[in-house]
Amino acid sequence: MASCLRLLVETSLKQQALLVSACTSRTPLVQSVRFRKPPWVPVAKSKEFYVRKPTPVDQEEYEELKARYRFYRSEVDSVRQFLAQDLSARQHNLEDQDLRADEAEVSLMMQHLQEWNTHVAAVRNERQLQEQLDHEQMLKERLANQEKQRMLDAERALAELEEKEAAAASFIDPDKLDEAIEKLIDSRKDYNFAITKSGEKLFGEYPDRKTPESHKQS
Amino acid sequence: MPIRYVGRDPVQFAKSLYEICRQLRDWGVGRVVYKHRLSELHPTQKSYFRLTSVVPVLKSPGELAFQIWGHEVFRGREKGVNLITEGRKLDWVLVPKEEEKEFCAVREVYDIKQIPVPTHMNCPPLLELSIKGEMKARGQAPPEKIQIPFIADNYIKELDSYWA
Repeated sequence: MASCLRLLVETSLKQQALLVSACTSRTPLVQSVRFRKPPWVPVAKSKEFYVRKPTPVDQEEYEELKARYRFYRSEVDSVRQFLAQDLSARQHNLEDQDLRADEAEVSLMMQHLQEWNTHVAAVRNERQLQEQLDHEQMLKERLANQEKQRMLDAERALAELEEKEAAAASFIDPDKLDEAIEKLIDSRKDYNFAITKSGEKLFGEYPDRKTPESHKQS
Repeated sequence: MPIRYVGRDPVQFAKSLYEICRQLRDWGVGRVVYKHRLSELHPTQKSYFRLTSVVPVLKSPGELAFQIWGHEVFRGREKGVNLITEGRKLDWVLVPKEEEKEFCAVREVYDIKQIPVPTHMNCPPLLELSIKGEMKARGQAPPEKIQIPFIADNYIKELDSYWA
């Protein structure tokens, strides 16, 4: 784009660059905008060895200001150190206060804690005492129950024993076996009985009537 | 074509120490040199160097530099043997042997202790008001003028320095 412009009109690099920017962008050509040469363009011949003149300094003023600033900065530093010391002193005081406040708070808390502990201890001791008594009671009851049970067992065993002893009367000795056999053979069992609802056996065909002894024997 | 001067306007018009030393016997050991600028700034107070050790250093072919130590006298005060760091600057002048004795005679000494330095300073007004208020609140009687200690360490250090 710039090359074709150069063919048409002999323009300076600056104008060319401006025109190029105008063509590529949508903004109008406004030459009041500040311009800077692109980095690839060499320095102009008139500006090649340009060296700026140092800013003029009034020697008297310079010396006077130097002295005054020296003193002023020392003053400011003094004020700053004074304030720093004051602040550190205040911080120490605050730290002391904080420490004392913390200690007071802790002691108060310990006091409360002790109160609660005593109260809770009383309640706990009462409960523990009651529990102990209950336990002892329970043990006693258990022992008593065991005794009772033992006695019951003994009674039952005794009753059973008596039963068995009673039953043992009908046991057949081996010596008297022959007699027993003969007895059995001689005896007769009567199965001609009825049963009531309650389980009562009703012997004989006519249970209400009295049966003669001859029936039984036959 | 007319002559066109290029570059900064010169500030120093003397020689560099390297220029001076490479033309002297023994590299200039024992000779007296001084900085032109210091002689201008403090004409009555003598500042010079009496060279004690000069070690040549070849920086590049044709460029001979030195590491130079010398006994320093700064504004009339003796500062002992120091390394000269500004030998490169074009501000040095050699004192001829005949004039050495007269030149090195120190008549005026810049003594920092002669300069009055305050120990206390006036408190800034706003700070003064606040301090007075605090003292009243605490129940203390505030003084008329509150004085703050003046920390003069940096002040004295600057006054005693090369760029005072």
